[in-house]
Amino acid sequence: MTAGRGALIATAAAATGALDLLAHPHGDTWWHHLAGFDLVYGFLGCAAIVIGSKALGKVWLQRRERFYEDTEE
Amino acid sequence: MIAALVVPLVGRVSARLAHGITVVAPAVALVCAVMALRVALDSGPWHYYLGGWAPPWGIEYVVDPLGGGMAVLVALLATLVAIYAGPHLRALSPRRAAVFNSLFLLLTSGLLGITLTGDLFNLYVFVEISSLAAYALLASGGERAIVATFRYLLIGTIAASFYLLGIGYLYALTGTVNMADLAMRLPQAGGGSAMTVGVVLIVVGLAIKMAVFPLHGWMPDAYTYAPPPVTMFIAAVMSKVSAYALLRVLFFVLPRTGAVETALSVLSWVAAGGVLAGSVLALAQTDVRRMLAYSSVGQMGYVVLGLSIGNAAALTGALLHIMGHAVAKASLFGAVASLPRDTVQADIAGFAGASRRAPLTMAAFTLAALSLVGMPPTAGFFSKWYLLQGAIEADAWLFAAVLLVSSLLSAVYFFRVIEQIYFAPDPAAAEPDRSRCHPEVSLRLLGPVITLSAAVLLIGLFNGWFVTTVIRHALPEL
Amino acid sequence: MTPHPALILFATAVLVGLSRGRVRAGLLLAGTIAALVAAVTLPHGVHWGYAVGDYQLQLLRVDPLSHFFGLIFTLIMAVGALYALHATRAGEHGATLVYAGGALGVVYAGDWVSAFVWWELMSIASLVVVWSGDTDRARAAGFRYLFVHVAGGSLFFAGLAVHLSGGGPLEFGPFGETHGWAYGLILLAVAVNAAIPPFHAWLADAYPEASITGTVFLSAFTTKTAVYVLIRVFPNSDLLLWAGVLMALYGVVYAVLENDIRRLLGYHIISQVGYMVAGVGLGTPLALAGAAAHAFCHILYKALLLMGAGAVMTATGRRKLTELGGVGRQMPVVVALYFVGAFSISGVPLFNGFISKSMIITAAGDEGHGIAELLLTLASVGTFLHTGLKLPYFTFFGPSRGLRPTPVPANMIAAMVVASICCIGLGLAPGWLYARLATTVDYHPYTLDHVAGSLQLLGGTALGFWWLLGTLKGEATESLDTDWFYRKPVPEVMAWLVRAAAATGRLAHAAARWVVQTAAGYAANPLIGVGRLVTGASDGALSPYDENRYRFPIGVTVLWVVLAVGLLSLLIG
Repeated sequence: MTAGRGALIATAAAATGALDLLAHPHGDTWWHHLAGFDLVYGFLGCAAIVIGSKALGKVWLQRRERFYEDTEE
Repeated sequence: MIAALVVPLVGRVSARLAHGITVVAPAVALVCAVMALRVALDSGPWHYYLGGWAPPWGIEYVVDPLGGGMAVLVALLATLVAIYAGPHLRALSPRRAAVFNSLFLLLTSGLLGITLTGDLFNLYVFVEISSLAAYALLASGGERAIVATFRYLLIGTIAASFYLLGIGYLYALTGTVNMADLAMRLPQAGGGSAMTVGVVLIVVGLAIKMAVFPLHGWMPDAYTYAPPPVTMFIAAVMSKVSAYALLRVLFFVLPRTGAVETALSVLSWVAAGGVLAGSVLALAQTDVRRMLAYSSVGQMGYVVLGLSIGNAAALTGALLHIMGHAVAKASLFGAVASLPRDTVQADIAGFAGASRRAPLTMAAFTLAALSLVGMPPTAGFFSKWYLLQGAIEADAWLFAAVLLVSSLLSAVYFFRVIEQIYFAPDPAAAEPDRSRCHPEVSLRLLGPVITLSAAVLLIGLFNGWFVTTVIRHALPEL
Repeated sequence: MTPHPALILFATAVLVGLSRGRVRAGLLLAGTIAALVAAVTLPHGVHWGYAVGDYQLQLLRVDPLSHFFGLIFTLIMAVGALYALHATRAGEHGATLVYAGGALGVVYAGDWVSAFVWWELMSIASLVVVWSGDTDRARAAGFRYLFVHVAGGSLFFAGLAVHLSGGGPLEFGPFGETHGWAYGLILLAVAVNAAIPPFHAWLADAYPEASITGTVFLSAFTTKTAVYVLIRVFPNSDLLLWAGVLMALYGVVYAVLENDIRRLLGYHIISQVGYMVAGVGLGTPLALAGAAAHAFCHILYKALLLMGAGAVMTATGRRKLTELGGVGRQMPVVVALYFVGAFSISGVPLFNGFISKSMIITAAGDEGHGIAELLLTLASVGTFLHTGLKLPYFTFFGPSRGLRPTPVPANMIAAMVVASICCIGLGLAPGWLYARLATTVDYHPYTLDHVAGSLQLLGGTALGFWWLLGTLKGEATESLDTDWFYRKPVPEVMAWLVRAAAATGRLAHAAARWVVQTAAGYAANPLIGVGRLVTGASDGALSPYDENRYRFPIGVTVLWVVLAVGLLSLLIG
């Protein structure tokens, strides 16, 4: 995607982050009280999942297609 | 009942008449057996003395719920198989057909005799009668059948001889061969080595006849190459009757001494091995009939397992399994053989698309197969249920596990065939030939197969009735 | 007489099998809608009780929980039937109807034995649905599916036997305080059907191989029936809580690596069911209600997603991300409907995932399980990433590969529309769903804080997606999963076992044959044989018995007879 789209997304995301200033947090944990927590969590989480999974895949899990067929019955 | 014993005098009458008698006689026997069973259930065992000589010198016939129930089973299957055999007989020459009929009746009466006799030696006589008739019938299947039957003959004769020797030892100990009499005298005779040897010989002899692993070698070949109606009947009934004999001897005649207990323990391990081995070997077969034969080895293992665990639930399961398996196996063999085929072999691949060619037959096959796998609400599920309960009550956890694993294995090897039947493309359909429209196989072949399959379902659905009305009364006192 | 919805479906199956064309389509719709009406109108209570032997069976027990599940099962059956109207194989229709009937049977069962019987029926029916894919891969996957599910069924059977012989109650309900073998065995069996790792591999293996219309049904019933059993029997267990959290993340991780669109969605089933399992594990009223609500919503949106994927496959003939791209412009309706499903699963406000998933996450937070709450939220991130961003981007948008999609049949679109309406409707009016839950909860999802938080989460994820776009495109690979254990070593073990068993048999044969042959040698001519034994001589082969050489002369026999008679008369007289 183009940088333009990226900028659009970033603006929308920031806007939602601003909503946090208006809201009353519910929940007991400390992180609920941070503004924009979910935004950051979403971004980092996405990265973590993608990078982590890809790493797992490369190191261990991914094989060529028809991996089972070639060696099975 | 008595009439069936007198019947094998069907000689060289016209072929159709001979066959008609062959169908009617077991039917009559069935009616008599049912009546006798009801009498036995209502008012206790029914005794008949041959020639009016009272036991223990005379030969006694006893109809109690267990024997009567088995007799009903045998007679029912005989009737249905006799109907099924009709088209097969038409292919034979009239003389051979007549011989087939008389042999079949001989076999049936021998088996009925085994279930109804109250005398151990008389049992041996009937075992020999039925075996000889069986050998002849099995061998009529062609060249390979003759070789297979010869092996069966040798091993079967060894088995019968062992049994006879065993009786001899018991006779030497007590001076009688009448079952009820033996039951009274054996505890007093003590558990010496003579009795041990006697027990061992009888058990081994009967085990061979039942095709308990690893004494089962004769069975797969014999079942595979014999003519279809013969396999249907023998696979369904012979080993069951031998199992009945074993049950009778172990629980009704012999006292529960050390020797018997040990024999039962050994049997249980052997049976467990047989269940697994039979299932594993069945998996490896490509010919469906051999697969069914090895499956029988496994299924008879269930029965022996139930016998050897020996509590009420396990015995109920064993008896219910005898019923269910007899009916299901007959249906399976009947369905397999009735499929129109060019070759002698019955490969799994040959079933491809069979559901389109013979939908009812294949539905019957599938239902019977599901019973052997143990799917509710068929008979097989309930018999496994009782067996499992028995195993749990006796803390026989290993056997419970064996039971479950073998269900898994049977599921795989039966579903291989089922998958071919329903999901593989039918090669014959590639060239549609309108002029030769094969209808489903003739009613004479189809009828018994469907009846048997339906019975599998009915026994399952109404197993409660069977258990409370018949089986509970057939159990020995424990 | 109160009709059992399952029986209505069975009757429909028979009728469908016997009819063709328009009549069949009409019957299919009529039957499934009739079952839905029956499920809606069933009065609470126990109907259809039978006594079999010592057992009291209850085939139709309607209480709030079973009513709830019965509702969604019949609804999705009807929607799926609409989607599958054009399928030509009667067997497939019959199988899906029986499958749904079995699921309903389990839901409405009041006793363990009935539940088990229906459970087994479901296994077989769903196997047939898998095989309806009619490819070699489908056949092979079906056998593995069979193996796993019969094994699970055996575990259930064993647990049931232990439970009943230990004097346990027949009533289908929680186990109470003691957690013995019966508890463990049945939990294991349910875990297999719920696809809890490591017993989950069958799902991603088998579901994509079924037919396009069949997979829709598969996604709905087996796993959710297992969830139903979990809710009813196994609430409040730490083991389940963490198993659920693990599941949620597991599915998401594997989905990153997936190339086949339906396999990817299959791993997401595992992920979403993880939420439900975690909710059951938490055990609070809110959590249990959340699990049930999430099951309800999940059935709807997952079916919608699979229907969308199926529509793409029907139109383009492709199922891999590496082969798709840029078809969105030609299939706008499908894209829009797909996104309804995608937003639902991602928990976008105004769609139904939002109202249900958050119940579980909040419940986790309320109980002080902060880590669980965070991890489940992380799984949400992953879910949106895949179903809301990655899959649609690479399927509908992105560089075009010159595919020309054919029009999608109208009934498939119609079914997707119905499902979408349900998703949006529930999202807009959560109270309707909450009122029907088994436990009354006081939960309001539309708080500003909550909405804001969700939107932020989604926004952050979108940002991440944009940033990592390059690494996310599909790769033509297959991922190892726990099914490796029974796909690789098991065939070899089996082959070895077969050889061992056959060898034992052959050994016995060889021994017997040796005995027979040696004996037969002597039996050909016993006289010479005995003679040889006695004298120890050994010459060539024994000649066959020549009757002419050894026949007794008649005179000798007469002599013997006379002697015998004489002897006897002497002795007796």
